Amino acid sequence: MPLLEITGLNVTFAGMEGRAHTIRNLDLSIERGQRVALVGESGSGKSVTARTIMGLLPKNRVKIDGDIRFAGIELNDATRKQLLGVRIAMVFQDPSSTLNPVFRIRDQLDAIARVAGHELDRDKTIALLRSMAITDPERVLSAYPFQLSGGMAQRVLLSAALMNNPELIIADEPATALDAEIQQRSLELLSSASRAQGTSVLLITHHMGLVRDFADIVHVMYAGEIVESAPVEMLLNSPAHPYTQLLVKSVPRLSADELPVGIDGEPPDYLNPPTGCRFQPRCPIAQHSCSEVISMKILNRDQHVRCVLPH
Amino acid sequence: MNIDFNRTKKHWRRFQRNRASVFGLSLVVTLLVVSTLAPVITPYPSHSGAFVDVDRAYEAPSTRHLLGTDAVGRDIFSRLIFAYRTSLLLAAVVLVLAVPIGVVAGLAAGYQRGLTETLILRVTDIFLAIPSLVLAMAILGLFEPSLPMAMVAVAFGWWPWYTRLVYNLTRSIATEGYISAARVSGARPTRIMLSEILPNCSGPILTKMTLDAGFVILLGSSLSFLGLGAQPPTPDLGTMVAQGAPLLPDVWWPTVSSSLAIVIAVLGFNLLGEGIRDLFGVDV
Amino acid sequence: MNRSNGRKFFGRIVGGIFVLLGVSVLIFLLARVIPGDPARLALGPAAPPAQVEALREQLGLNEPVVVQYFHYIRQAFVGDFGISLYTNRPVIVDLRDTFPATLELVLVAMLFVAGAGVPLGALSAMHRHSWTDRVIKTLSIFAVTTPTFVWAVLFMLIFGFWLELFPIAGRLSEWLLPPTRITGLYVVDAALTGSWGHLVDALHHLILPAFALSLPALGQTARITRTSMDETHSRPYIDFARSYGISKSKISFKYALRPGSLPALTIIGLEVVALLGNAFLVETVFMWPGLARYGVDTILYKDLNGMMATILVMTVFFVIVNAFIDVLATFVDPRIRFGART
Repeated sequence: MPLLEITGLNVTFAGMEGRAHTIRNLDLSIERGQRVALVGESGSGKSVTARTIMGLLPKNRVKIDGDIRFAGIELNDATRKQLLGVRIAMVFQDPSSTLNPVFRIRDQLDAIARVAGHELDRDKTIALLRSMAITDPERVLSAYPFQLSGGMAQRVLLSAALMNNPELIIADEPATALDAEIQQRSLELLSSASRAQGTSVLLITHHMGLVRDFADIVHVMYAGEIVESAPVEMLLNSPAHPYTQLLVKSVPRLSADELPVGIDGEPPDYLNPPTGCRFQPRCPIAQHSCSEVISMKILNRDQHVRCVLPH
Repeated sequence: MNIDFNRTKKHWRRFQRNRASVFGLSLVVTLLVVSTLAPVITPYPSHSGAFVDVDRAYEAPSTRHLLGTDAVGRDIFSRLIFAYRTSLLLAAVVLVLAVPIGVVAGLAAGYQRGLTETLILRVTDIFLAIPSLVLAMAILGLFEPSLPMAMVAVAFGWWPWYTRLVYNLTRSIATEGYISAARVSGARPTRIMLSEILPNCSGPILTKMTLDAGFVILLGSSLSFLGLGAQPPTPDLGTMVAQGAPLLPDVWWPTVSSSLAIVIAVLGFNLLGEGIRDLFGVDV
Repeated sequence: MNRSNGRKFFGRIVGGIFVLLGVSVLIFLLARVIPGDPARLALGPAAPPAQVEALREQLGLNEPVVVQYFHYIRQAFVGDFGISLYTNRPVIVDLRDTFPATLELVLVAMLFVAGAGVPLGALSAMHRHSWTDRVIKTLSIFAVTTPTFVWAVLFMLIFGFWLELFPIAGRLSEWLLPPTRITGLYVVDAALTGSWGHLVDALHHLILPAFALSLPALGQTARITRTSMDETHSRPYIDFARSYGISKSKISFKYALRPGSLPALTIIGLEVVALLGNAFLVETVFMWPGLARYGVDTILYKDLNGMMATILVMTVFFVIVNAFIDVLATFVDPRIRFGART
């Protein structure tokens, strides 16, 4: 049984200008110990997916259809209360705004410990912080968030997520707001910690370059749909979907002869999305049949693609 | 001056969405119209002055006297409408006096910096340390209380709020690129302050003026409640509350109607001002 | 408190003293600008000119204004504010008698403002757009837009006359003598001397005027807190707490409340000023024998000494409260305490 299984997820936002069908027919599953990357440009709906899993969307404006199961348990308000913070944890994007500015770090970590039903174990926490390459854990514990550097705060966030030994960590563009080096380092820390404990990770990012070292499986998302899923090597070496191909080409490489190519055009309007393939307007090889609803095709054993073209 | 009609329409549509603000606007407009047309539309315009008809004193509200009569037989409804005139006039004059002084001081302090800034800010602090009511009371108590004197007294304590507001705005605007550009191109400070900085303050200033109109009326009624405002027989909202107070609880209509009248005026300006504030998205 | 905070605090005190001096200059100038002769006012129209002149000499009214001012300040330092025309007693005695009454009133009013204003605002934000929210918002608007004297008269009528729940005049029932004077604050003195009857009676008399006094500030605090809590709830660190399954109530009352109540704290200084102003109205309506009512009477009586002393005392109070608020803010918001660059 997969650890996390999302089936037929559809998320619609009701706003002043109409209804935005943001996530369409999303299927995603994560096995135990697996590292999955969800890649897409900004506005593609990846954060929305993460927030839907965690139940963080505002209830009154959002309609969620579909099935999300964690370890076989259907995720709803009641079950989330038990699971969140204990078996599922989330790492947010900008560490300086994610930590509460008027509480000390130890108080915030203590609150997280209490969610798991016990008090903060000072020694264990110090050991955890040290393992996250925080050299002065005592000072960090008694500090306020603004007294920490960006990188330090990011590592605190990671520690917080790992504290209760969750089975799944969702990392939503971790450290995107910080330097590339810090981002790299954060992912390395997350990688080693999760490997050590067998934690599954759902990494959400817009940066294709990060996934090679980190992920086992990659899902590429465009305009609220998953357009391709494959193991990482397969995806990077032989991308099947036109969008993925363009994405892979756009990653800057020091060894390349030419500059990376961007992708023309704009993402679709979620209020009036195209019925068929949502990438069609920007696709260099679009055809007539692209206007019909397309379902995922299995290419070779592990690669799935949502495209009409034979490959 | 060219008015951009499309933008105005867009602003209006956004404004319309807030029901409370529209309600405030309608209150204010009604008050303005009614008080302007006071001599024409009130049933007993002569009651606004020295009029006595002791036989008709203390009459309860009826079809003849919508809000009843007071201790000397004057129609309260008519007097209230004339009292609105007094209040609105007070608000207008106070703002006309206080706002220019305050704004100019704030611009100078925020732009020129240095000694000018320190001096102006210190003086502002001094004025802000005394409650407006107390300062106005002191002035009115020392000189003879009257409506013109009350206007001056309230304005005397009101200008520093605008100085502080405009000072803060000027400080942040002065760091913008186009100000440096103007300065480098040789524009004189006065020109920069008036044509570059001031227009960018107009939103918050306008919001504050609208809100203040209500609060000036509030303050004015407090002053006249204590007997320091417009003197009898001029009808004034605060005075009418004070005159009606000893008659409570049996003759309730003078106090209750004049109290409600004050609340309506202040509420109208308050809701309108909040609506304008939401429109400009400013932090006043 | 680190060095830079200590320096800031010192700066505030210095600024406060400067403000105080400035206020004294302002009021002094105003008092000397009035038409009419203070000596003539004191002695009345029938007094012979020679007597008036003698009084003028005695009061130093023939000296240049600057000299008069310094004379006044020097005397004020030793506590001599002159004789009150209104009570014919040394002003300092009047101050001593009346200030505690106003202090009590203002303190209890501030308790209402902070103790009810902030929670109501938080409650309002927690149940956005529900009936609770709408009721609180409406009541807050009315609290802010209705003049204090209207509330005072209204409360007197409803709670004093009709329901007869609360007394409507004075600080104590007529048959009671004030408790032994230690601070002048009846509630405190009664508690310190253990006379519980006094304590209850004094509180009973305090509640109505203090509540009437607190209403505008209470409403404003509730509104500001609501807006601030609303904004706080959309901050990322609240999502962070939610993502760890922390309960909604814990978030509302702890993790959102502390950062969200800060704006209310910053406006308390301004609210105290407004409160002091409104005290004049409340004390008049409720016949509260406080400094503010004394101030009203001295103004109506054109008693310059009494008036000036009243305003000066109020300004001192204002400066002290502001300094206190600044210190409080440093403790509540660690960003201020440690001088973070925001």
